[in-house]
Amino acid sequence: MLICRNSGRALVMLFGAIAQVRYMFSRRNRDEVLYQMFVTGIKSLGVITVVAMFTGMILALQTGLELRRFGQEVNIGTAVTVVLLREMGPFMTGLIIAASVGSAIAAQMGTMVVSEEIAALEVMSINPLRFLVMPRLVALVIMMPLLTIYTNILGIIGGAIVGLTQLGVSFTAYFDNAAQYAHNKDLYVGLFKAMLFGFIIVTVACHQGFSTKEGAVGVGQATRRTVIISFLTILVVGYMITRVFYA
Amino acid sequence: MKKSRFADTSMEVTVGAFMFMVLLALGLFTIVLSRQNFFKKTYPVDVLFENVMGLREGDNVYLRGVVIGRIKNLEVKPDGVKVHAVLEEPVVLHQDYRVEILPTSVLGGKYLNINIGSLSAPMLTTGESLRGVPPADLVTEATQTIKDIRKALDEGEVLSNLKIIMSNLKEVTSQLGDGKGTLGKLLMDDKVYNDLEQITANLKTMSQDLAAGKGTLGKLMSPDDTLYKDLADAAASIRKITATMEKGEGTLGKIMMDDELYKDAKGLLNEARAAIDDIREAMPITTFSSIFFGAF
Repeated sequence: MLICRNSGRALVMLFGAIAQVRYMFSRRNRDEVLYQMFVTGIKSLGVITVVAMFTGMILALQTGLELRRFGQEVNIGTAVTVVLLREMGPFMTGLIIAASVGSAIAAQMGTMVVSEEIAALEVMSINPLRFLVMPRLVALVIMMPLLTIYTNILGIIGGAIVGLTQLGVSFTAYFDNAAQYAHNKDLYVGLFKAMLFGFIIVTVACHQGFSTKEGAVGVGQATRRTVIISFLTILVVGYMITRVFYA
Repeated sequence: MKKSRFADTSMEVTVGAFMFMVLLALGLFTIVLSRQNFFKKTYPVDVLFENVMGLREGDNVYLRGVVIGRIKNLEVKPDGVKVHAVLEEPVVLHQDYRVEILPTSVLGGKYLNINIGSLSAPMLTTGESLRGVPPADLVTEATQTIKDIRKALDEGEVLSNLKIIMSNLKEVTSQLGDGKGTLGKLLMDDKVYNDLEQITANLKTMSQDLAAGKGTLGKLMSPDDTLYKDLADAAASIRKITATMEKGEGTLGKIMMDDELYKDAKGLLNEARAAIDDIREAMPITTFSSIFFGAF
């Protein structure tokens, strides 16, 4: 019952924020959107770079070592590229952004609720959805697919490096093989997934932030719940999308 | 205020540059994954198949084992499936051309294989519609092969013969197990093993005696070369004797080499034979005389 009520509230909040998107190009909102894009995208590049490179390297090494038993290690190009484009790219990006940006959004919203800044905004007739949620929503929905492309590229490069140094697969063979069996559908379904993950992270984080109670302890709980709920929702939605497009 | 404005500009530039680069990468990604070269001329080819057995868009087109294109799309027609392929190189087909769909591996996957035909055959005219060879279904073929083998086994009485062979084999192994027959005794009777062990022991003793220089063979094989020297001396003496004989020296040599002795011996034999004949002729008279005079 509680889950249904919270889900309903979160969805109402999401639709309310989407309805505010038409105000995105006002001077103040545009700057805020840009700032949120900077915070969400550029400031996350460091951690995403490391995670993406090592994800690709691990994928290449694990699959390559098994494929080498059958003399098929040249196929790691396909394995790494398809897995990254379809699943691991958006999934890893979603987890990183949920853990770093989502938790930060929840903590910020929670603190504003606890210190009654949200109430103050409403008193001043400033819609918190337009002022706080919409810029973050737009920023994350735009940046998530872009960060996923970045993750995919670095992951594929990481796999190619491991292929060359550990498995003796040349860059040419690796990329030829990757391009042979990966399709545009894999890329764009992955980007669609990433965009949905952006919606999920912002919705969960803002909802949990707005639902904060009991002061600083409540802020901590909201942050923790944001990360957990985001992770679980990303996993479930990721599976559903894969099921819809590939099963 | 200036600092803030500069910070805003820097942020805008950073975000814009990031978006631009990532979108550029997305464009490149899309081009690479679509496997289309916009700067290279392509050659469309349409082939009609009765059945494409799972050939899909994006599958490769091979010519002499080299990838020269890919399947663009498939179109179901009333008389079959029209396969639209895009080739990167122009292909000239001859009248006995062959376009077929082959499996990439036993695990699945298909590709279009083009055989241009023999060069001596006349070339195909432009615009002529191509017909593909119906693909072979590995599973169906394997099932049919198994059926054929089973039919051959049943009809050729191979199974009944196999049963008889197995029965005979069972009997033979049973007899072997019971120790019957030569092979059975060889396998089951310890006597053969004991005999072999005894032979081995005897051979061992013999080899030890030989090594120790015992017996004639042992002495022959022993490191002590007295016997060898004796034999060598004997051989040298025989060689000397035969040389002397060849020269006709000594009694034996003369006997062997001198014709005079042969002639003398022959003459002597002739004279002896004549004397014997004389005696034989005179024998009755002598006998009669002896008897006659013996009576007095």
